[in-house]
Amino acid sequence: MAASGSGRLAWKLWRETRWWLALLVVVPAVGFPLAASIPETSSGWQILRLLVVYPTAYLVPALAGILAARLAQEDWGAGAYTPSHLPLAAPDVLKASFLLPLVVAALLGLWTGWCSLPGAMHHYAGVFAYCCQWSALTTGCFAMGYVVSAASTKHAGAIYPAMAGNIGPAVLLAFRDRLNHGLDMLPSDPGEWLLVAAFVVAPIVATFVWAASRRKQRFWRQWAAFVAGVLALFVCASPAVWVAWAGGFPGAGFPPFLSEDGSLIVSMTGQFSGRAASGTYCQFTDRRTGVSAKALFPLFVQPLGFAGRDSAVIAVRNPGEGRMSIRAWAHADNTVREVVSIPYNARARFALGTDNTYTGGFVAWVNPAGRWLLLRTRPSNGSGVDLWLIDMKRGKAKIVYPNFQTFAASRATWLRNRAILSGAPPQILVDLPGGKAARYRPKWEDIR
Amino acid sequence: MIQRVFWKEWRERRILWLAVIAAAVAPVIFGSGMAFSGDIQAFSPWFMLPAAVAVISGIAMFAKDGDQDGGDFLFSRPVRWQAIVAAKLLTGIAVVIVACALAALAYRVLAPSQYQPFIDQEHLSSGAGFLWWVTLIAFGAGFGSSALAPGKHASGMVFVAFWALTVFTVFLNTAFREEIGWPRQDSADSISAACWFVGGAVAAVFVTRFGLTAGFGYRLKVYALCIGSAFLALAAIEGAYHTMAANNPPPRRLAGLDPDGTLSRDTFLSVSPDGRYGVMSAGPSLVRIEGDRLIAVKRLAKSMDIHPLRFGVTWTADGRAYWPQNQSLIIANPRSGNLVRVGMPAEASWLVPSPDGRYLVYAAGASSDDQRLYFVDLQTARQLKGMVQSKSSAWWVDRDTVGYTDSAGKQARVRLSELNALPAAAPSR
Repeated sequence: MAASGSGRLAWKLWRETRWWLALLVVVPAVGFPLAASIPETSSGWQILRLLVVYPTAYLVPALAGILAARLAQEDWGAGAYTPSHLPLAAPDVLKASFLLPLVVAALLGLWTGWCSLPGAMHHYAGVFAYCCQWSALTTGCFAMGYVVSAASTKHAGAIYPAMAGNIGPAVLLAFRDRLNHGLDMLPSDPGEWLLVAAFVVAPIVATFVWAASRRKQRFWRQWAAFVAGVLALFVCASPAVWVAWAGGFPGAGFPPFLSEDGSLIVSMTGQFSGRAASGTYCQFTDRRTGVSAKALFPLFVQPLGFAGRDSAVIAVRNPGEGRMSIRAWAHADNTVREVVSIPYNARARFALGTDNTYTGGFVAWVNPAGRWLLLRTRPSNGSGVDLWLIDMKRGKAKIVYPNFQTFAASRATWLRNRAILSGAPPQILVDLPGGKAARYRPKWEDIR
Repeated sequence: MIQRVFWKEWRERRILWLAVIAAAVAPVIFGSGMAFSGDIQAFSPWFMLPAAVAVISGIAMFAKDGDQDGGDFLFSRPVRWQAIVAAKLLTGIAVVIVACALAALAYRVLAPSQYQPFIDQEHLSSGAGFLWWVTLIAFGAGFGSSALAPGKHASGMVFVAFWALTVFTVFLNTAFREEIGWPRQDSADSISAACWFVGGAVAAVFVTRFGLTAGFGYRLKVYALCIGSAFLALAAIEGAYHTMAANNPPPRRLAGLDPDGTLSRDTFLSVSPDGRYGVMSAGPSLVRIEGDRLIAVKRLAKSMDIHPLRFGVTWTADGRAYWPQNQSLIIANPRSGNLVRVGMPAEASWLVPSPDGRYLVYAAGASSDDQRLYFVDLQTARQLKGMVQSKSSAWWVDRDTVGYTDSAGKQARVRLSELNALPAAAPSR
């Protein structure tokens, strides 16, 4: 490429953007470690940390998009210098000002993702997926800036990637935090990521349709662009895309799950994922005797609790399935029994309320006798959490309190025929045999 | 003629209007967004979608009519300014109402079967009402930003500037209230911030009446006047309210309780395993539970901040509650109302009670594989002498024996009665 016109153009591009590139390399390398060194002991420090983290994360995708918009304006704009002064064919321009910088943008995205990783990561597959997502965001913003500006020859090209670059880092930084804690992020994060993709893809598609239908009446162009944008949004949010995504990266797994007295532990020992099959190997150890049982489960596994001294209750799901299976894993004879299967909507996670103790989207309580399971999980449709009551003996499941907003771990108090979920709002009283639940609102009286 | 003005608004902005409807309905159809059952009252990120489109719709209101040529043309027709304002506002409001109604209808039809028993008229209308409120405010904010400068882009910049100023005003308001000694009120922050957009919306109406073809300087004066008036009106109202509240203080009520004396939604209550006692954040206090009544046994110090995000309360089998707080372990016995503090290192973590609830082991150390295990007798509320070095979290083998991984990486056990002696031999496999 060195002797060709595109080589000269690439050299020109390098000369013009090298300081920007240096900035984009240095800022993540300095910004994220700097933010990590800021303590979170008070809200003031937390705000300061946010003020450092967010612009650092925002800079790379947004600037990539804005630079791309500028390049497109230069290459294709009416008053462009390049076509009139350099002996360049259109493919050369495309190679030097689009394809080559696209690769650079991808590398910059990988670099930013790597810089933003915290010190200790537990899951290498998740780290790889995370860095790839940063790369995809930065590349997408670059492509969007270039394409939109080239097609519309307006500054709109800089606005859309700035928007997408604004949303993307917020999603990815939240993703990183969950990744760092070893949570089962995959059922949820493709949904979040696809939302970003929708913001990236929809305007590109709409712009192409708008530009391609320039001979049609304005009315039809508007409608065609609108429909194309909606279709792009729909495709981005479709389950098919999510299944392809989930198949591509194995789940990041879950941290070791311990019983209250620390004696029983369920942990993940390995994962595999491919076109033919996928799965997660788990180990159930009784630390008192040192004896372990091992079993293979579907890709997504989340331990929920322990029924008595010998049985673990876990939730499992295959990628892309709309149902989640609750299983009981007996340690003594290493048998797994399916208790019940309940609906599960992986895409609903986006709107979930914050929960510091959220374990992969699940909080569950098993009563001491192992008969009842109360499961708080993401909703099929909504923005809160659903409370399921599961009869472990009869294999029946029912939502008893749908879509409530909560942000902390509750504690279940098991009474004879009732359970009280308390410790975090709202307090809920569950009638176990009746399968009903309501707000628990006792009246307070002062000291007599 | 007014019908034609309505028709003009529809023709010019039908894509945006349809986008508002699509943005409200799509999250429901995709099954991942807003719900109209359950008790969701809080903000959902999915509200951002219709709200964002509504803001853009509002910003577009005067995009064409607000410039010299558009305004001149519009007023060359036999149309009154009230018709122009009505056509813009009523069309927007109607579209928002339709969007919310369709979203509720879509949920009614498409909600998964497990939610159907919980969908009723009350839930549907409250969900749609909340969506309507959010979207309408967004539309109004966009409308309020649209008449200051001609063109979509300039109006967008005005919106962004107002948004930045609202944030600044919230901080300023908080600082000012602290300065003059008024209590902090979240609602006052919101209202003071909203003055930018409320004043802007009123100014947009005034501009339609008096200055749709006027220059930027004139419009700026109108906006400044309206926004300034909004702030003055707010200050007058709030001052009057504050004086009234100072003269008529409300009856004192325990924070965390509803007016009828029941626990409010955000009050934290932790209940003992037998359901007879509790620790609650209102007060805070130790309580006895009798049916639907909570009877205070002991009021705790105000500094005892019971909050599950900071300090999870755990109960032992014999009815004691304990939680870590400020480098101590608080052990409470609601039966007797006794409360004891046991010193604990700041880095203490991984508190594990013994199976019978008599003892507690906790870890403290520089890293997860360099821990010191300490033991507390919860019954006598005393920390036991001695500790062991561990490379992992501990586990209870039986009521007085703790298992751990020693510094050589081998499993070991220690009996609490022999804490000062060497650890017991590793378990046989």
